[in-house]
Parts: sequence; structure tokens; C-alpha cells
Amino acid sequence: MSGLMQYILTGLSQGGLYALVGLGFVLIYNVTGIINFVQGEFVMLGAMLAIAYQHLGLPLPLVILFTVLTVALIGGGLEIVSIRPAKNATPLTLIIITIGLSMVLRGVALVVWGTDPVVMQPFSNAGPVKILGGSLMPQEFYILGATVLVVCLLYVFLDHTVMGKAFRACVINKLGASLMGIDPRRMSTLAFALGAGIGAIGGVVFAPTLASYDMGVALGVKGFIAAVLGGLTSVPGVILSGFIVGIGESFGTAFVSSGYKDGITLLVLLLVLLFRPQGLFGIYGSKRV
Amino acid sequence: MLLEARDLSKSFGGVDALKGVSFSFAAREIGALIGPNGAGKTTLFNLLTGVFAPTSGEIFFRQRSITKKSAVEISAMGVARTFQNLQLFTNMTVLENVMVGCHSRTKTGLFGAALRFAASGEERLIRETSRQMLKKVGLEKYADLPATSLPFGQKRLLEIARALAMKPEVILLDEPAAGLNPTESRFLVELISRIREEGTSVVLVEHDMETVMELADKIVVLDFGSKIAEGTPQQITSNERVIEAYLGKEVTMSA
Amino acid sequence: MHLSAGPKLKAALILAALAVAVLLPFTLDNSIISLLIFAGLYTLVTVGLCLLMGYAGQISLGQAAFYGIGAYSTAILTTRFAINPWLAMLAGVVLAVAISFVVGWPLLKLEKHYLALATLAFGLIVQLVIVEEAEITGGSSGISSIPRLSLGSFSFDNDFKFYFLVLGFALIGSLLAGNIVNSRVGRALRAVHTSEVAARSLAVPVNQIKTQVFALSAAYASIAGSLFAHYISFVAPNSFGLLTSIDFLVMAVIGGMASIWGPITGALAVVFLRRLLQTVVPMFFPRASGEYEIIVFGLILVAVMIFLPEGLFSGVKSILSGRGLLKSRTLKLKNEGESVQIRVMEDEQDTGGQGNALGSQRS
Repeated sequence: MSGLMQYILTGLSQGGLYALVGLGFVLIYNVTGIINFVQGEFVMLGAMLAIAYQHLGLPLPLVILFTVLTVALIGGGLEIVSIRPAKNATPLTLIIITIGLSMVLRGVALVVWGTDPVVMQPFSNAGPVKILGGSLMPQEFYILGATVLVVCLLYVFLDHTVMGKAFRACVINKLGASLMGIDPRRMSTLAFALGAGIGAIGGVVFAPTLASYDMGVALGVKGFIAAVLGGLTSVPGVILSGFIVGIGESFGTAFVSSGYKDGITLLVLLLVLLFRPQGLFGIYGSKRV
Repeated sequence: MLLEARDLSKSFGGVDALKGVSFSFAAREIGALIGPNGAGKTTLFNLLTGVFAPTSGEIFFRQRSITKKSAVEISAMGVARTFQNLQLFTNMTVLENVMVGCHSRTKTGLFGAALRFAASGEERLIRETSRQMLKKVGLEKYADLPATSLPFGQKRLLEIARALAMKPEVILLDEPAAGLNPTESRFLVELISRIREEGTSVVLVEHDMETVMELADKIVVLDFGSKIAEGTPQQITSNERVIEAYLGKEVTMSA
Repeated sequence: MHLSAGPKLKAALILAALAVAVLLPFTLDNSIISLLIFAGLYTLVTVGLCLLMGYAGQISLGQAAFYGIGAYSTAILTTRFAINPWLAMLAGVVLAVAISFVVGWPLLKLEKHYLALATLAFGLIVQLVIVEEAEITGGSSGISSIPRLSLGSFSFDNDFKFYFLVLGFALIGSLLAGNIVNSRVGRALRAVHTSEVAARSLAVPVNQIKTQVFALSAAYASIAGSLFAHYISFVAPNSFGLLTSIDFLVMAVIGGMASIWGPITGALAVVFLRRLLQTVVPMFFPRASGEYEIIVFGLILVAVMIFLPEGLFSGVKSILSGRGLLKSRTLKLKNEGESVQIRVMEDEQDTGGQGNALGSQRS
């Protein structure tokens, strides 16, 4: 039983990370219709920048703040520079643009930080915490906590601020929103900035575990899987799916050879796509909510 | 009976687009489906052509049930259609659009295509047939232009030519006269008559009452997803429910 | 008034290109020939992908899987079972096509984004299987000492000879694809791309056609993979992962998918751009060891997509013909293999005499 709990706990914390990555995907996809291949790199930047800011001697809260702001700015900036100019682009063109951007970011990270993985100091130096027969490192709590916090903040933003409501309007009906005076281009930039920022938060909380210039690729794929499983259009869906993927992986490692554990997730994804392409919560055929 | 619907219903989520609609059209007839906007006409077309399946009810084509058949199967049986929102192949020329219409009557596959010389005979045939179709609708001089370069009215005609290339038993025209100027409408009416004369049955969805009255042998009237009348033009114009629902009390009909 | 490539000009250009292709290796050194060989292999894959994406309008992020299936099939069969390399290549094609049917039939019913993800997952799974089934595939270490290809007593044992072999395959592959595009099947594919609903209404078996072209693209990739294996005599799972699939995608899009010359443009562009960056960039950043190329490559990719979204081939053609980048003024047709540019015409129709024949009246 304790083994079971451990798998679940580990899976939850890993899943929280995937949920965050996937959340960024979902936000961007819903507002812009773009499958954002840069998402993983935003996470990577979050991790690497957090370590860099920490080296500057900043206290942890500022590190987190600056990191998230920086990456959000980068995300918005990239959108302005490379997505906006591509008017009338087909989805394929936009996908390739994001692929190119991800290469650029990866290359820049490689240049700046080299190939060696680095780690950040854990947020707290306490020992493992025991829960119901399993144990979690404090950092893993932080990952979970970050996920919960982000979801709450997002909820507050979307439901209770004017800008958030404008955002939602754009998701639901771009034309209608623009007729109401909401500029879809600015919303698009905002979406990228938000998606990047959320990804960065994931990176920051994961940084004490691992950070390297190429961590974005695998995390991007996992987050993407979570997003699709959740239906690509649903925030609760992606969060839940992130946890499912995390837990699935965790159990997979236990019962299947470690190499194939990734295969299980992928296979599940394929099956879901085949039988329920709208994912767990989405609506098939609707590109946005 | 060529085309028959029995108790056809279709709901989308909570919305009942069609409720228990039954009607039939005979061969060599020009049938018309009329009704106010939102009455369910295009939905009905989509059901008849297999674009989606009915929630309940049955459809028969030449006495064979096509309720469960796919769009491809139904088309292959000889049911052609045009679309209210044009669905031209915008990446091809006028002629090529029609050539796709010949697809079901020809058979060169991948291998034949790759080894070009094997296909040339059939290609010539396809080309010839397609040109004939274009001639029928008066578009033959635009054969090699991009389909998107045609003015709107002629795009509609192109869709018809493309559907006719299938040599179908029946062709379903979804608002073919919409957006046409009077000259073009005249041409369309003549075209539809010619189509019937040459042996293809026609079913139209139309708003233009003059066209419908002139052409149709039988009219089915829909309103809010239900059929409210079925009969000849004379019967329809004197049907009170129809007048109320659709034609409006002020409109005087000369049948 | 403008360049229109009539049939004679086109034939001349093609002959010239062929002559260049045939004579080139005599003048170049091995490293460049090697690049050309890779470009040729990638062209083969990209032609298949172009048929799938450009004509049928589907997206695949997993072509590397079929590339790998071809490579590993021939590697395993020739090294472990001493089977004739050509037969092994054929076996690879059969396997790739079979898998593509099994996988493609259900997947191709999905809409674009979902298909992209599904092919991504598929590609990753294949790579995973290659790594895990180490007994057959050699796992992460791969398989080495793959024998050379030979025809009778003539062995393709150096770059020079292999170049011509690949050239032959690439040419035949492009030719076949070109024939397909201008055929009944090609039209059906293009129809499916634009409007599946309309295609179905014309009794075009949409799902079947999509699956067929998917299988065709798998066959192309598999053959290229087998040639690859025999060229470098060594295969390892790293060459057949997501980044490779993305490479193929990039080549297809960069080259342009509207013309059968797009793939070779894309393959050459990517291969030589990479090489160019490898030689040039260290001149500016002497201490760098490869990081800057990926940045410059990514930037170029983004720039090409923004300014020449139709791809290099169509974009350059537009520029050369004096139309600049104003794509809306010219319309290119694929008509019997010719490229004919349409002039802006005076109205001939009885539609009130307004505007020109190019989309003047839209309602």
C-alpha cells in the first residue's frame, strides 16, 4: 500500500509540472489557434533563468518574480516579432514558425549556458515529508502548490478582471470580441505572454530537480499530450490530464520496463485520439471553446 | 419513388433541426424544398446525401435504404449535390474541378497514375467529358482558369457542372439561384429544365419563388423542422398554412 | 510582359538541371558529394511527404518512423540474415506500407491538429521500440557493418557511385510523383485537401485515398531509409526521432509544397544551409561549437515562413517573374505539368463588365 501511495504522490508532483506546461499550450491554442512548439522552451527558460537570477544573489521571491516576468516578456515579444507579421498564415506555417523559434531559444540557451545540466537550490532544505505511507520531497510540494496557485490565479484573472474577461471573449468569439473593441492581436500577444509565464513557473519549480538546455523538448511533448488528452480546449481538462499522465508514468515505471514507460503514455494518447479525439473534456471539431 | 424520406428527425445537442419529416420525389421529376430560413432544408439535404446520419427515421433511394450509408456510398449510387456555401476546389482550375466529378466513373489508381502512359486513354475521356459539361453550363472558355477567378454566379454553375459530370440519377441543388442576377437566374432555370430532359432528376432548395413555381413538379414545404405541406405548385400556393408561414399574406402568386 | 514558362523553356530548364546534376560530381570533392547524397535521400522522403501534406493536406510529424523502418529493415535483414540488400529494401517497403495502412486508416480520419499529434506519437513509439528491442535492433548502439549495395558485380562502394544511385532514385521518385499529381488520383487528392465534403459528394473515397497517399509517403521514406543504411553502413535510433521528422517537415514546407520541385529545393536548401552555417559561423564566433548554427537556422526558418510562406521554390519564382512578393496578382496552375501564369484579364463575361477575371465579384 505504501508503494502504491508513493507512486501516486510522485505521479502527482510530476503531473503538476505536465499540467503547467499543458496549461500554457491550452491558453495559447484557445486564443490563437496555434499549436505552440515553443512551450517546452518557455519551461526551460524558466528553469535556466531562475538559476541565473539566483546566482545573482537575489532572494527567492524576487527570483521567481523576475523569472516569470522575463519569460512572459520573451513570450509576448516573440509573438509580436514572428507571429504577428505572418498574416494569413496557414496553421502549418505557424507551426513551422514556432518550431523555428524553439530552435532559436534552444540555441541561445546552449550558447549562454552550455550543455551541462545545472540545478537550483531547493526552495526549502527540509527533509522528505511523509504522507499516508509515501513521502514527498518539499520541492515536489512546491510543484503541486505552484500548479494549484496558478490555476487559482488564472481563475481570478479570467473571471474577475476586465482584461481576463476580454481574454475569454476572444476565446469564445474572436469576431464578436473585436467588434466590441477588443483587439485580437493584443489578446494573442497576451496569450503568449501568459502561456510563457505559466510555463516558466513550471520551469522554476522544477529547476531544483534538473535544468538543462534541452529539457524543453521532452517536457513540451508531455505537456502537449496532457493538453490533448484534456481536450485542448479545457483548462480543468488539461490539469486533470497532466496529473493522469504523471501518475500513469509513475505506475508505468513500476510495472513496465523503464524504456517503455514513455511508450505507455504515447499509446494511451493514440488510443484516446482514436476513440475520443476530443479528449476527456473537449468538444471535437471546435477549434476553440 | 426515387427519393423517399420516412419520419426523418435530426437533433443537434438539444436542438431539433428536423422533426418527423416524410416526403417523396419521383424519378424524372423536378422537386423543390422550400421554407423560411432555418426551416431545416440544408440539414435535410445533408441527411439525404449522408453528410451526417439522422437521429431517427429512414431514407430510401430507388427503394433501397440509404439511411446508414456513408456520403461516399450514397454519391456512388448516383446522388449528386451542390452546396449552399460553395465548396469548389479552390486549388484547381475550372476544368479540373469538373474532372474530379468524373472520378466515380473512372478507375485509374495510384499505380496507373504513376506510370503515366497507362492512364492516358482514360485521361482523354475524362477531359472530353468534362469539357462537355462545361459547355452545358456555358463555361467552356474558362476551362483553364483558376476556379476562384470566376465571378460568383459562374462558380455556382461550375459546381453544377462538376456534379453533373458524375452522370447522376438525381442532383440536389442547394439554393442554386442565391446571389444570381436575373440573366443568370434565367440561364439557371433553362439549365435545370435541360438537366431534367436529359434524364437526371432534380431536387432544389430554393427561396426564389418564381424559379420554384416555374420549375417544380412537386414542392415540399418545411417550417421549423417539420413538413407543413407537400404537393404541386398550385396546391402549395393555395395552402393556407404555407401562405401564412412562408409566402406572407401580401404576396400574390401567379401560378 | 512577364515570364511564362512555356513547355519549351521548361524542358530546356529541366535538361539543364539534369546535365548539371550528372556532371557536377566530377568537379566536386567528396564532402560536397556526400551532402548531395543526403540531399537526394531527403528529397525522396520529402517528395512523399509533399504528396501527403501539400496535395492531400494532411500533416505528419512521424515520417522519420518510416525512414527508420526502411533503414532498420535492411540493416537487420542484411546483417543478421544475409539477405540480398535489394530484397531487404523491398521488405522494408512492404513493412512500412503495411504499418502505414494499419496506423493510417484510423488516424487519417482525425482532423489536422489531432493527426499531427497522432503521427508525432506514432513516430516516438517506433523510435522507442527500436531502442527497447535491443536484441533485434542493437538498441541504442545500433547496427553496423551494413553491406554495400551492388548491381551484379558493380558495387556502389564510394560516394561518387552512390551519388548516381541516389540521383536515379530521386529522379524516378519525383517523376512518379509528378505523374500522380496530374492524374485522376492527384486531382482527387487535391480535392480532398480543399473540401472533403465536396469530394465525398463526388464519390471520392476520401478515407481510402488519404490512407493510400499516407502509405505512399511511407514507401518513399522507407526506400530512402534503406539507401541511407547502405550508404553510411550504420544505423542508430538517434537518427530516426522527432527532430528528424521535424527536419523533413521543415524541408517540405521550406521548399514549397505546390510544385514537384519544392522537395528538392527544400532538401538542398536545408542540407547546404546547415553546411554553410557550419563553415561560416565559426568564422564569426571562433569558440563556438555548433550552437550558433541552430540559432541562425531557426531564424532563417522563421523568416522564410513569414516572407515566403509558399516556400522557396514558389517564392523565388514569383520574384524572378517580376511579380515580386505580390502573390495575389499571379495565379499558378498545374496544368498538364506546365506552369502557366495567368494574366489579369479584361472581363469577358456578361456580368456587368466590371473588374477582371480574377475574383472580381465575390458575394
